[in-house]
Amino acid sequence: MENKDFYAGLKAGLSIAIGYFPVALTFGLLAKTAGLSIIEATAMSMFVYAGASQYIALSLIAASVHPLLIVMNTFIVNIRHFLMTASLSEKMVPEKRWVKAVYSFGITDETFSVLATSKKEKISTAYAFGVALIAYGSWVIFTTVGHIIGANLPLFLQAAMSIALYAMFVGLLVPSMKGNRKVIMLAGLAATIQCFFYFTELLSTGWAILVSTLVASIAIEMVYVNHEKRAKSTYVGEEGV
Amino acid sequence: MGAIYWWMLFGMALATYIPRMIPLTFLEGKELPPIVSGVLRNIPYAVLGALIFPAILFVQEGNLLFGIIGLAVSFLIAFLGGSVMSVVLGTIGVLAIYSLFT
Repeated sequence: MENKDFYAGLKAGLSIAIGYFPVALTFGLLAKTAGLSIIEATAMSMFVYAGASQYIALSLIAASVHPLLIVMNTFIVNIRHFLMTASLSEKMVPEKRWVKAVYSFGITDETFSVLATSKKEKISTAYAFGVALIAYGSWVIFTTVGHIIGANLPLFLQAAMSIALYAMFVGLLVPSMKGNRKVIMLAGLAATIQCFFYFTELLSTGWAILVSTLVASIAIEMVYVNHEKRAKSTYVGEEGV
Repeated sequence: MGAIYWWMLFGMALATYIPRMIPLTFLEGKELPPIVSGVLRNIPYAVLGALIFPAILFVQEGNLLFGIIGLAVSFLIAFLGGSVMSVVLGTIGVLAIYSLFT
């Protein structure tokens, strides 16, 4: 039973592993161009294992941002996982705390979505380990491979690749923006605040991104909460008449 | 990079692991206030906006056109429904051609 679940998990995680392949490969390449050694790049994928945070760290390392700010940025970007793991805990089979502590290391946006959308009523620990393990393996191995490939690229291509980081962010953001006004407002407001910090040089890059993100996220949420309240009270008022 | 890099890595690992581990291990399904979870949900989109703009324009120092082309091409491919990887590779491709001829 345990073994069967583990293999089913590996199978379900395979699509994540395939999806990670190009992203990890690109990360390895970019880490190389940002000046990280092959061990430093691989270690980041092994111990941090968070795509967006790792890409952000690279751009901040390249901008000589203070390491402490990079750590804080990592935290700010990853606190969204509080939400995911909180909702996931209801779906997981009860298990010893230390075992949960081990497989929780493998919860990313992608493994979360595979586990959370699984048709199973309850998810076994073995299944979660299967999903997490194959995704993690792909991420670490292809980081190393990407770094090795990066050493042999011609200069004009390395110049062009300096855009890869930002192109990836655009590629992640734009599909969510389509038909979603809230996402457009969030990204637009954060970008506007970031512009203000960039041109006034009031804050360094790391702090500016942190402040822009939080201000935009809180402000837009306030607008939407108030909007919903007003909509609700209008509705109640009409009901009264 | 030296010792400071490994300290940073240690900090990043903790900053990533703790938000993943705490709720799954200790919170067993307690719910966050809606306003808090709403703000947390917003963060990925806001952080992407702040990361992309205006930094993308200044990827190559003194060459604003490089950044503008990069932004336009990546946005176009993504808008037309390209995968993240095709956005990355397509933009690199266009800029590689641009870099070859300038």
